[in-house]
Amino acid sequence: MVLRLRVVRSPGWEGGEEGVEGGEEGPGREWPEGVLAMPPHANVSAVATTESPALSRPGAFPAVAVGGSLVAAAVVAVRLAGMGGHPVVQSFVVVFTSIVVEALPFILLGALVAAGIEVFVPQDAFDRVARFPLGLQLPAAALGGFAFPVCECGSVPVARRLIARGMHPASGLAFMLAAPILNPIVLASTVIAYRGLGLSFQMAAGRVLLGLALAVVAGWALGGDSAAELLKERPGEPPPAPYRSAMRAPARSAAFADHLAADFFFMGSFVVAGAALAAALQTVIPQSLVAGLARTPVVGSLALMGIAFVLSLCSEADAFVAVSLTQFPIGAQLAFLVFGPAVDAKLALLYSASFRRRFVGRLLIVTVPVVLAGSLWFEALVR
Amino acid sequence: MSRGAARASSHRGFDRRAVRAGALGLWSLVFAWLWLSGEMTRYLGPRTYWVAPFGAVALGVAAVVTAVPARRSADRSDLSTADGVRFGVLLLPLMAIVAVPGAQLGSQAAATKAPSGVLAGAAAAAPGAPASGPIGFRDIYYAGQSESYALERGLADGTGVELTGFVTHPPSLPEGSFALTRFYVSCCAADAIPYSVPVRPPGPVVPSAYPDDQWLEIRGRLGQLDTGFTLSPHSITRVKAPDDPYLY
Repeated sequence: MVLRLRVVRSPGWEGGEEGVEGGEEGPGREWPEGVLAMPPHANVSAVATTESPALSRPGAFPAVAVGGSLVAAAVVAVRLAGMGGHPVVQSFVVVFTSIVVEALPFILLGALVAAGIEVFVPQDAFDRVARFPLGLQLPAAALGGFAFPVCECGSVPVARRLIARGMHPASGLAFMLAAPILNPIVLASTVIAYRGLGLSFQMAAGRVLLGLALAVVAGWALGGDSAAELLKERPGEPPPAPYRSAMRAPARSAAFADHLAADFFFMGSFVVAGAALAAALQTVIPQSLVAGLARTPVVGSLALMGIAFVLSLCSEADAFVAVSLTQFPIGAQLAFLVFGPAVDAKLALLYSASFRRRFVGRLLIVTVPVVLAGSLWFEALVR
Repeated sequence: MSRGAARASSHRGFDRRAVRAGALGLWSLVFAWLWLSGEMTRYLGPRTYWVAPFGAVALGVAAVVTAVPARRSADRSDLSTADGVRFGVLLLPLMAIVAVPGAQLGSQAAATKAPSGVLAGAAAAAPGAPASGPIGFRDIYYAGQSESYALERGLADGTGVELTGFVTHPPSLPEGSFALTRFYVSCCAADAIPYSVPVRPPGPVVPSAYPDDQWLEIRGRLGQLDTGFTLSPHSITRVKAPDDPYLY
């Protein structure tokens, strides 16, 4: 891998004007491998990037203008051709837009927390947490989801930031997978949805226990890599944290705004792409195809995991859908409620943008058997 | 090359922070429009209506917070092509709303999203506590699956009902029949579930008389079959699609 460095001048830096040794100052300037010698307090930070130079090139006015014109032309063409009246197009647009509209505020909330972690939480706090044994960190991180009322879209940027700041990757992943299931709003919606069936307590308890088990097992299984091995670098991301302690309050605010906007932009674009994928799948694949396989617990659980992947519902809403899937066994409904917040179509794109290659595949390898086993156990207990 | 000249020569594109603030601001306006125009009912359910005002305010604040340093800072960085692509992707839903105004779920979505086909007789477990209020599509569906639900809700052969919905033609229904359908939404249109009641108009029916997606108001009486309830109409009136196309 060729390491490319982007030189980013830090807003609000109060030090001198030292530049990179041997180089000319300038934002966004890319330096060849080997230009690493710089004073430890230099007014720069290096962000590793694997993105092609063409994509990270600044001043991309023509490309953006051409892209914008093409999109505008497509909108006009759709309206002129009357394609908007086609039922498939209408279904796609409604589902696509509704997923995005519902998810974006949560993305913003996640970006807000992530930016706060990056800018305002001192490094010492992460160093202290990192000293605890992993056996304690893992369940504690997973249980942290109880205090974080954000669904899966918001938990990904937060987990990524926690890992980048020094939390053990296993703990960060455990938090990421647990928070969308354990948070109070999700549990309340589960209780309300299953009240009619008299299964409120059983379903909420099953969701908590299986969600915790999945978070801890998946965190342990996938969190063996270092942060650098696990996290995918993001070109254009604001500089990392260590120098923040030297910043004054206005500069911190600027850095906070930078991180907030960067995370929202990045995660938001992948949620939009994921929503498009989910809407396309919802529009094209008849659910009755999968529902026909519902009768047995094993096949029913696998089928509902597939439906959860396709539907890509917010974890704060999915219980109301699960309870309506009455032709499926209760254990399969639990599989739907635990699998969906961990892996779905929109998350797959978000994960692939946040973590290195093969993460989604490895997560599936862990998630499917854990959720299947848990749902069968739940079915046996409840029925 | 002097520093100032180098800096000036690199500022040929968009300011990254300004573009990000613009995207946040644009989405804030969209949420405000969804909220104030009532269009949010097309995409969201009552449980998530709060998302519209919250999104409008929170995204607006985020836009301002992002824009202020962009104005103050001399440390401007240009928008990269990757950022430009992300900006474009974030605008896609807005383009979709503009390109297909007033989009709604109809018979195509009902055929795809129906969990088991219309009144297919799945071994469904109906909720234990029937809802109160006027009899709706979901009540009729559950009553067809559960005798106790039908008893508690007062649904039986000959019960009079009044329903407003759109026309669908599930393949399981005999010729001359159609189904009146309505989507029930929990949090957003992505979780919408269609509930249908088969309608058997008296006498021969020209298939084109009740095309897919035509909204109808039907008054009639329920008839009980092995597979559930059907509706025998007294009157069928063509109506406009309601402002809020979903039930909850």
